[in-house]
Amino acid sequence: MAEFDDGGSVKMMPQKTHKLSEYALIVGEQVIADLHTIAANIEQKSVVHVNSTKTGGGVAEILFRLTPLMSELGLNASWDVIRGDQSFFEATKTFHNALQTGMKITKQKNFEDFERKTAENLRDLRVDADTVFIHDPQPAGMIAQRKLDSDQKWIWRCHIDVSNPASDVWSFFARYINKYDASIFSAPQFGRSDLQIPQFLVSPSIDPLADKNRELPQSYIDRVLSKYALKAEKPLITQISRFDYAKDPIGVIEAFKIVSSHIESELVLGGSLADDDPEGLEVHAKVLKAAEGRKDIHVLLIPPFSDLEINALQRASTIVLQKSVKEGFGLTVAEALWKSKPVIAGATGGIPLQIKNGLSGYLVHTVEGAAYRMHYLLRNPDVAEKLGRYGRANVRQNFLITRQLMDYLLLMISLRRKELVPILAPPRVP
Amino acid sequence: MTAVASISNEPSRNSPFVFFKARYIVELTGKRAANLQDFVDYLQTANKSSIFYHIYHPLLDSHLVPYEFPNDFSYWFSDTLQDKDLAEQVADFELPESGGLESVRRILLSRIERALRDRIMYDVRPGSEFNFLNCRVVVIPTGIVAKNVDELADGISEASELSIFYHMVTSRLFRESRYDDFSQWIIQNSTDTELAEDIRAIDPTTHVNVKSIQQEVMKIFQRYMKQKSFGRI
Repeated sequence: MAEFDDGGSVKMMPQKTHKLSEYALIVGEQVIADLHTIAANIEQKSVVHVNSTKTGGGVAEILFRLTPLMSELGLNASWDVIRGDQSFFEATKTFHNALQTGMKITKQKNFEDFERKTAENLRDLRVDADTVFIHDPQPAGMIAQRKLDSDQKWIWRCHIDVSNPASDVWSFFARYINKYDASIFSAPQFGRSDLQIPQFLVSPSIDPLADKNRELPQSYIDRVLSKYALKAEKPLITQISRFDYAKDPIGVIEAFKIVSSHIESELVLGGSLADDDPEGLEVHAKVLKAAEGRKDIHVLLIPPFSDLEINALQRASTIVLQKSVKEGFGLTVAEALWKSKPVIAGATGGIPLQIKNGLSGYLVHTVEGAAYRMHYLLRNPDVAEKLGRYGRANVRQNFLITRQLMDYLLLMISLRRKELVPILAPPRVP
Repeated sequence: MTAVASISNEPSRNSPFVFFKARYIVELTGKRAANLQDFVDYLQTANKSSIFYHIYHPLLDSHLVPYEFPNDFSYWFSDTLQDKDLAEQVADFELPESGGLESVRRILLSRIERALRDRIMYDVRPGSEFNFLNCRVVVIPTGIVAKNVDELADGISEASELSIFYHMVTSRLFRESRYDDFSQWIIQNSTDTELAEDIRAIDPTTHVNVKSIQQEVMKIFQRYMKQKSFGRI
């Protein structure tokens, strides 16, 4: 979290969460009132979220913000993490890759390490609440703690793309998942025909009040441009994402080279390198090579916890790219649309949910397609403005944290009420 | 969930009109059509809530982005199958006079099966399949109550778009009635049957958004009240 002085200088503050009343200014009073009504109708008040890390990654980021909001609504909400060691996390990383890519890369030892550590967690960590949300595969085995003959509801929340998983890993996890009351996936195409439990669609969300998305003073944006030697007077095209083949950074450079031969502009490819990701270093090296000799291509290594700078770069952009060839949900698209930016993105993962082609952005499949759309938007700023405007309206309704919170509450109601169309009681007047 | 012939909050005789709204949670089915034949096969057995969700629910989002084709089916036919003819044929789906969502399914199937005869079948690119989704409805009271027709008019002008959509579309379809909640209550609780019939005749799917439906209902009320005050009714 940061605050600005009058000159746009940043004073770093600890990351903070926000009250529902602060979101009312963005999403409207009615949404907040409905959240209160729905939560008041949930009789079983205790809720626990369980994942594998308190810091780093999108899941921890959303739980950090969502759990206090649930508490503010009168639920007894908490958040626990399972413990892991190196071999456990090596196993779960392998599972993650195998589930997302379909590659058979898992060894028998990975399954054994997972089961051993799961047994330790079952012994050392007590997960007990009326509603239990288990996030992602790592803690899936905690289902063994489910109380038999109770009204507990266990929900497995999957944040990754399991539409084409490696069959050995999926079969292994399906044994756990089918013991849950329900599952949640992030995009329609991630749904499975081989699960015996209800599957719900809950898209991930962005927090409009977080440093990555909040409004910024122009003076701060200007200083970030200056820090990275970017020229404010030229159109700026930006892609912010990890240095990863799935994000096709080389394709972005190729597309930009086509465009820049006709329209003078600048490209920013900004991203971070994780210490434990050797492939990231390799991709970064290739990106540098592809950008060699080009003063108009800026490859920026952005350190972790640089949310404000990322926000500033997105806000300064004329066009934002997310030319992924494989994507989970691609929340960077929602981040850019929230800033009313025209977005050109790969038609993969959750991106088509966020962009209706030609209406709230452009979906592309090739380098040439990306170049064509960049040309078009640079020559037609009115169209760019319209795409950004529609994109922001769509994000406001469908991809903000309050909508995700409401979906979780509706799911909790829906799993317990027997009527086909549950009718809630009015809110109590204090 | 399946459509039901009654919902426990439906309007009734000698009771005030209570305004509700609904929130919707989406359920995945894992049923994924890669071509038109798959689509027909899945549509034949799709849950009625799936037909509601894909055809009528998009009206709630239609104020955000001006889609050329307003429902999910026609959008997929147009954008992914590139079959503009078929997209046009299923773009406009008035609320059925009878039979509710089952009758919508029958009409939809007859239009698509006609097209099937002369189409070359091909699979769409992986990831572009049509995913059939169901939805569950949770109904929320709004706190607005009307004891007579005048108060009903006031309530409609004050109600949110979610509330108007619920009473004009969701409840009518799930009750499998030819009357929306407003016109049903007017018939049951007043002698203003002409007013009720005029409201009943509104086809929400011909409107660009829910605000526009609300404005049309209000116009009908104003016209009717004016005529009534001049003794023409």
